[in-house]
Amino acid sequence: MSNPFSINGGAVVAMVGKDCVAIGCDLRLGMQALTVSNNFPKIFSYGDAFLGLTGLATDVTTMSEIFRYKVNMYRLREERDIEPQTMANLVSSTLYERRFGPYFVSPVIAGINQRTGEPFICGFDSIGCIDFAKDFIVSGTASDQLFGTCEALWEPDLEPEDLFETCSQALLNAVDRDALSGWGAHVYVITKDKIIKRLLKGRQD
Amino acid sequence: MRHGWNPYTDNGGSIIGIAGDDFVILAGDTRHTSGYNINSRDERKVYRLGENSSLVLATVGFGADAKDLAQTMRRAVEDFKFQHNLKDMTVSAAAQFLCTVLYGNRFFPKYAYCILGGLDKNGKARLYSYDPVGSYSKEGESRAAAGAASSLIVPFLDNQVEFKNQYIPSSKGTQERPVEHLDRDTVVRLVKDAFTGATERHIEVGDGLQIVTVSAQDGYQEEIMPLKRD
Amino acid sequence: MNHFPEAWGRPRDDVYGSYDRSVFGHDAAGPTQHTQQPIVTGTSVVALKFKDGVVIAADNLASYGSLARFNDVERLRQVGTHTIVGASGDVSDMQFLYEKQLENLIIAEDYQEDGHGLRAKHIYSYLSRVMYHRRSKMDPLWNVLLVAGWDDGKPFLASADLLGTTFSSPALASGFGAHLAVPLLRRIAPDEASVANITREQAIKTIEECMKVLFYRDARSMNKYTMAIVTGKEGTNDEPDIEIQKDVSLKQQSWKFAEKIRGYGAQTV
Repeated sequence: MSNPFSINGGAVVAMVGKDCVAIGCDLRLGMQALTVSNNFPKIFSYGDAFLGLTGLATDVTTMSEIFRYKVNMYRLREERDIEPQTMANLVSSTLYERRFGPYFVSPVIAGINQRTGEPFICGFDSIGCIDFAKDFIVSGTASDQLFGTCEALWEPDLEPEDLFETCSQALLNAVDRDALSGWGAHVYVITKDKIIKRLLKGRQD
Repeated sequence: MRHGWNPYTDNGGSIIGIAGDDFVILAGDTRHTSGYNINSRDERKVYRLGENSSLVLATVGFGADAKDLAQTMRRAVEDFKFQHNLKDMTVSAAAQFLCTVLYGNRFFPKYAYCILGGLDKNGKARLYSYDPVGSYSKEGESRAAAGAASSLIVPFLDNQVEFKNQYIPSSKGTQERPVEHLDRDTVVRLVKDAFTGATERHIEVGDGLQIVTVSAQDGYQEEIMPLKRD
Repeated sequence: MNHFPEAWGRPRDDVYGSYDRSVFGHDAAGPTQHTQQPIVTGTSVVALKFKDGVVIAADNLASYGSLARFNDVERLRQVGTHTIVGASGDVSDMQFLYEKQLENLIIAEDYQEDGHGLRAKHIYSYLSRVMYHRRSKMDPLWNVLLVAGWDDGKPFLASADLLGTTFSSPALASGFGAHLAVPLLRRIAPDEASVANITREQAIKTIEECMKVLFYRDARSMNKYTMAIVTGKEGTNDEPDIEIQKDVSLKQQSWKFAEKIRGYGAQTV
């Protein structure tokens, strides 16, 4: 009953490919050892920007709703969709506002900048420090395992189909070694003109 | 007793073991740490037990306990020959012996994770891994990893040695990819990739990689390879 | 509700109170107590391998907490014909090791008069085992020992500490030296291969530099030290030449470098 980041469990990973990005999450929601749901997705989309959230489930849900509100307001004022880079700073500020009573989440952003076409991913800690990575971002109770699989399997400039396979294998094999993550996965592959969302079956334990 | 002083510390590092059909490879990085200090960039963790035997032991965790275990095992393998009419200690005997040694210290454990490898009397590869109080599987394993970066390395090995989550492409997810013994070059590549990955993402792993191969054809061979030193 | 396996079947702490460990039966602060704290202490020992041997140095101060109590203490000791041992940490434990354990070890070995003597790796093996044995009895000798010498036809340098932890490297230092001196030593000797290119003069100069830096930055150090240089004949186990320089004073101390410093990291103006 101690660490808010590992009560509910969960895993998110994002990777950069050749003119594409991939972001994946597991589907488990638990109460420590007890699994409560096998359909709790942790990736939310706001236009072309994708946000993955691990950590305390109530904060995952609340944050996804807060950003739905903030992005909608942005769209009303700016009359355009928010770019992933801008969303990153929005997430960072929102988290830092709660510096001394933080949301217990580890967010991940993935998307392609509409104007420049360049793929973008980044991760954050719970108080908004942005981690801009060129290769991959990992998050959740299986983050150690994800670091291992991603570091070994990722290579630069993967085509969308290959990036999907790499991201999926990295995610599946990592969560299979984490008791608090798994029960299926969603993997999104995002390119300039389309977004493909796939449901992975995986080990159901 | 009032215990103000901790008799254990963690000296970092990681080890790995992969078994082929007639060869086994044990490897470990050569970095020795205490907290943020690097004590040595070249301190080996993989030991040969006995001069002509195929037994190899890798230990990681608290360096003093790990080294003491290796020395105990070395002594046991040598003594066995004297006490058993020059017969070599078999892998399975050494495996069980190590379990006994570890459990013998159940109430003041040797804080060391061990991986034992060797060839059985038919020249087939055997690999065993242990927890600090001696838990091991009698049948042995095909791969094992321990130490600071074990959580990073193990899922990678699951995917590349046991082919977990891999299916035959045409079967539409109904047929798993069959598991077969790997050849030596593939195993060496996997070991190097596992450690370069671990070195990138874990501060206690790096400096150098010690790779020991024991095979039916070529006996004992050791290769040292540099790893990133940051 | 704690669902994790450790809690299965266990009565809840908030209802029944936490586990009563007095049932294990300790005498609260009984007559025999072991694990201690060091009282009179010596600070860093530094050592560096070079082409034909090893240089090792330690200052002459024994501190009583923050009091610089004794300033004529010899923390390096020649053990046999091939080895110098340097000790940091508790001075009484050092004296026990030097004047009882090691002294008797050498007497017993010399008594054999068989033409053989104990070399560096034997002394090291002995000391490592003693240190590990004491830690396993929960009664440690509160020291970090550096063993420097000549063995197997090449320079020998290794460390053993109060936990029984052992390791070897071409450049070693204990205490503050591990943080301040080792990076300086590793610039000259980053790995074993580079040792073959280090001259005796280079090694001595580097050690002198380290002792100066330590005096500047270690508050429990002194400007007078002992330095020992072990020089052997490559490829043989013949008795090496051991030169011990006592009461060496730090040379060319100057804080002028401080005037050039800006900030503490990336600042340039």
